[in-house]
Amino acid sequence: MAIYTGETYDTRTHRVDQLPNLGNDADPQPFTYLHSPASWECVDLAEHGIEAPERYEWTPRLKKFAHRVGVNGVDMRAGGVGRAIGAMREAGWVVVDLEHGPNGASYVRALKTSRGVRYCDAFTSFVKVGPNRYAPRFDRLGYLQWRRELVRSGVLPLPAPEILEGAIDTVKNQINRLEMRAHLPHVAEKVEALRAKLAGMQRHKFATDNNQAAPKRGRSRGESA
Amino acid sequence: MSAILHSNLETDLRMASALAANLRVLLADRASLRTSGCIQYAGSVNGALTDTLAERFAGLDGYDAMTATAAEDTDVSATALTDSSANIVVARHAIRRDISDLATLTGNGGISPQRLAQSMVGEYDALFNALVCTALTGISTDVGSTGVDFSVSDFYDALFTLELANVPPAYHAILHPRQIADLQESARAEGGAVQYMPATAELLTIRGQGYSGNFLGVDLYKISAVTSSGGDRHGGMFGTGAFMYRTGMVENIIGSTVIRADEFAVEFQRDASKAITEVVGHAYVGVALVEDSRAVGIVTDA
Repeated sequence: MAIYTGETYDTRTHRVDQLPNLGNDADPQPFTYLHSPASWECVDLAEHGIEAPERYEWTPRLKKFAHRVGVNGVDMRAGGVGRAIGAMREAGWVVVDLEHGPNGASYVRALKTSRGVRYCDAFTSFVKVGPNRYAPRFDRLGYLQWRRELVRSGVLPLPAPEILEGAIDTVKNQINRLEMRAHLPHVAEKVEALRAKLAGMQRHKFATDNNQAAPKRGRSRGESA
Repeated sequence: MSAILHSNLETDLRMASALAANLRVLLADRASLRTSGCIQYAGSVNGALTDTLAERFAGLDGYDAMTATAAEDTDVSATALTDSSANIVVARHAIRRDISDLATLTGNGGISPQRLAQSMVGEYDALFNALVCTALTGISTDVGSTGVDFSVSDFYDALFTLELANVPPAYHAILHPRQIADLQESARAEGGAVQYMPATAELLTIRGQGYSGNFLGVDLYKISAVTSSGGDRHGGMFGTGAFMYRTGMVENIIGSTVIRADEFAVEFQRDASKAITEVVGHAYVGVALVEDSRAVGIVTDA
């Protein structure tokens, strides 16, 4: 005689896997990373603990193009997102395909929350900080290394020098504004830091020519104590 | 003789706890960019034969200048007209709430179909804020640094970017509360004639929640829906005309009780067999960045 048993059903597992309402910390729709050729920033690698021959390196900024109908040309019909992204590409934006995510995986992550599926990038995680409260934690180093890798691999083209000059001018203006109060110690520190950054910016270094760790200095063999 | 105590009466004559009569709303961002005037209304798509209208731009009225001719009888060649366009797509957005008759009749008016319908004004404004903040990410030029707090220097950089592009004022800035707080902190350390003018109570009454004041001639709006990416908040500063929106309105809804507001409609649908009233809000709206050159992104630490 056949005996039928049901499968174990336990809703607790589902609830444990589900995050509460994350509010504006997670997106209600997926996204595609876009890069504007005019949007570059100069990053201090030492601040992120990265050893490199050049301390300051130009890194591209990325923007999330949300797959949200009714915004920036995304329509409701099939292929609406593709058409809108195509229009952005025609306008000069560079599209970062999903296959170029970290370690070859997609850079979009889906989260189950009490309000449905929400999306975030591969560098964002959520940690419990209180009763039913989660805070986002962002892996800045990983995000920076991934952007550097996009430059090294040629996914993101290098910018024209004129674009960098615009950003360099803004730092020069900051120095000019602060120099009037450089007699104050904390302002003098800021000015010195900005001057060092300006010098680094003017060297126009990118990840393509800055991917070797700085050689460690130490006593050479045979040197007497 | 035992005294009559509240604790004694709780069995039959008193309640251990009860709900207060007043219904208050939870803390939320109830700002309205729609009524702020910084996002231009481009019109309705009703009767347009499409849900996507392209805003047309032509290089006229001084875009090109006359040039001197070599001689009085020089044959002048034609100057090409520069043009561009940007699409605004109108899409359907909706929210639905169901309420049973028992929930309505046992209440004191705090939660009722009418109150749910009234609440849809706020829900539409929240949608509008989210659409505008999502549209901000389409700006191609940015100021600020990843992982660095927003400062007065970044504010000046954004202002200079707009002025160098010859964007006519008025300027507006849509910033996350984190960015506003960082700006205020940075402004404390500024000397000289720089003045942050916070929103007074009168201005808040006129402009509504979300208006955060004026700084260096730029109206500031504090919106929680400003998106985050890369550990940063992506706000923006722009001149009037950078962002536009369109709406659509269903004129005749047959078979349903409808309340029409300016840009959205609320429908009541009755499920009599379940004794449930469905309150559904519909909005047909689309927002787009139509002139990128009038805007600059502000990307600073979240």
